[in-house]
Amino acid sequence: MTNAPEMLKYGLIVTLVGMGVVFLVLIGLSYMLDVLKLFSKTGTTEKKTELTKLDNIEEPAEAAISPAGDEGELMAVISAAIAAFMGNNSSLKVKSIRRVEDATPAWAKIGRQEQMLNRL
Amino acid sequence: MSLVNALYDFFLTMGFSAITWQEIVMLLISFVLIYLALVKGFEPLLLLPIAFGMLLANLPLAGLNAEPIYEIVTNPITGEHTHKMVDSGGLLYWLYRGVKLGIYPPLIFLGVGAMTDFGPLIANPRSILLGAAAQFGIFTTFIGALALNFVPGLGFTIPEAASIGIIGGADGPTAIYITAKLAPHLLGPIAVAAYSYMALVPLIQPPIMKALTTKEEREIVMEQLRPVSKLERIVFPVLVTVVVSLVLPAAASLVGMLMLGNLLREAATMQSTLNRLMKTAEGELMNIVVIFLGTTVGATANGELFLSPSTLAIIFLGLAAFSVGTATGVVFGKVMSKMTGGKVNPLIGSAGVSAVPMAARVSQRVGQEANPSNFLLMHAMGPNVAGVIGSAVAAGVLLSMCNI
Repeated sequence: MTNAPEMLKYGLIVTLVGMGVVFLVLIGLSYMLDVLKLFSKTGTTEKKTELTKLDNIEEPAEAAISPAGDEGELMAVISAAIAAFMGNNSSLKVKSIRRVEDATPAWAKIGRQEQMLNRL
Repeated sequence: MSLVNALYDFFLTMGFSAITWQEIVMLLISFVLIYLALVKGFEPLLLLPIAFGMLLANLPLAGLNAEPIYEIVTNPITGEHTHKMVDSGGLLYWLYRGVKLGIYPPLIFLGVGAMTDFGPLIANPRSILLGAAAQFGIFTTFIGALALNFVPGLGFTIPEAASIGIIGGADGPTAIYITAKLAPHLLGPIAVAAYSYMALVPLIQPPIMKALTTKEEREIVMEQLRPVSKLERIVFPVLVTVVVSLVLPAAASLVGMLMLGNLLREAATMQSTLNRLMKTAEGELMNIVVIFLGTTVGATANGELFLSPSTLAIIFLGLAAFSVGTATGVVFGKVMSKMTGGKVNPLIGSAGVSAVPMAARVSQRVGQEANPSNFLLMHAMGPNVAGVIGSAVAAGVLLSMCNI
């Protein structure tokens, strides 16, 4: 096999077989994993529906924190939270609230979110 | 007079007297790569050893790559012929045996397996398909390399084209494994192209992802993945090894070691003594192999072979491989999004081109740009780790069909 058209033809055959095998193997694995799920504990499915419900509640709350939201309301909430935490006899006054640049890596954020959702 | 002679003789033993222009250019390239690795942070873990290996190999007269020289001697009493080593060869020659014989890449896979959490993939088995779709990059590049045979002056044989295509798998060890078996003379350019593009994934992928998706699609929030049981985590590596190795024996050493590493990781929570093996696999063993692999792969970048039009073609084809893989992954993601009624964000499709975990992080970033409360990272890790299995399977096919 030295001439170009012949090599290209063989290349197309390899591509067809190759992609075919890749898809076949991975689709096979994907369905085998479905079967595997049946064997493992069934308790997980209940928890999942509960979690998705919580997801839906969570979203509007997060949207409100976005910069476009009502700044005054946000400050009131933060001040109230601090007041509740410090108790009545605290002389602390909230003078200014500044947004701090969030440098947390994405992995840590995901982890934190998962922890929160699992506690709720 | 004798002093001049002595000085001249000494000059002849110096590298300066024997250096060729190709070697000078290669030294300059290695300086650039060292700069890219250290200052720009391009996959420094591998690119630095590769660059330094390149530097070592192109120092004239140092003979680090020299083959050992044997002499056949006849035993005067028995008349038997035996080998006698006259020169033991260079250091890099011997370290390179691990690449040549296909030992280092599977050992790296052992470490990768020990570091990889296949949980997101087990939780959402359909995401495996995205890891398959992104492998189109490998095969279109393979065809592209063969099509270059129509261009006068360029030309790749089938094994060479297969080795170039595998760059699209975005998987360094796999690319090195295949190339060492099919076209070892191209190892230098292919390894450099594969690792440089992997470092450039955050630059290459986002424009393609944005061009192929609408803002509404990028905004899709996916529901949290279900927790995965211990049983599933343990059975998964065993299952994958058996299935893949029975279908494709050529992929057994890569997939087998990957899954052994993963089994060590998952089993370490059951039998705490296994923790030691896991720690070694993902730590010291991996680091040692990375040093050997990087340096010796870099050392294959011989000036005369590296500085040729085919290297430029490989670098261009490698970029095409990454781009096509990203595009087909995203397109397949769109199909899945439509089929599930908008439950899948097509952005996770681009993570199918292995490059763990960089490609998943890119999906996360592009998704969050469109919708700040979008967390795609774990969803993208499914196709991402499936991409590793997918490219190992594709590598197995290329090995068994292109070894001619």
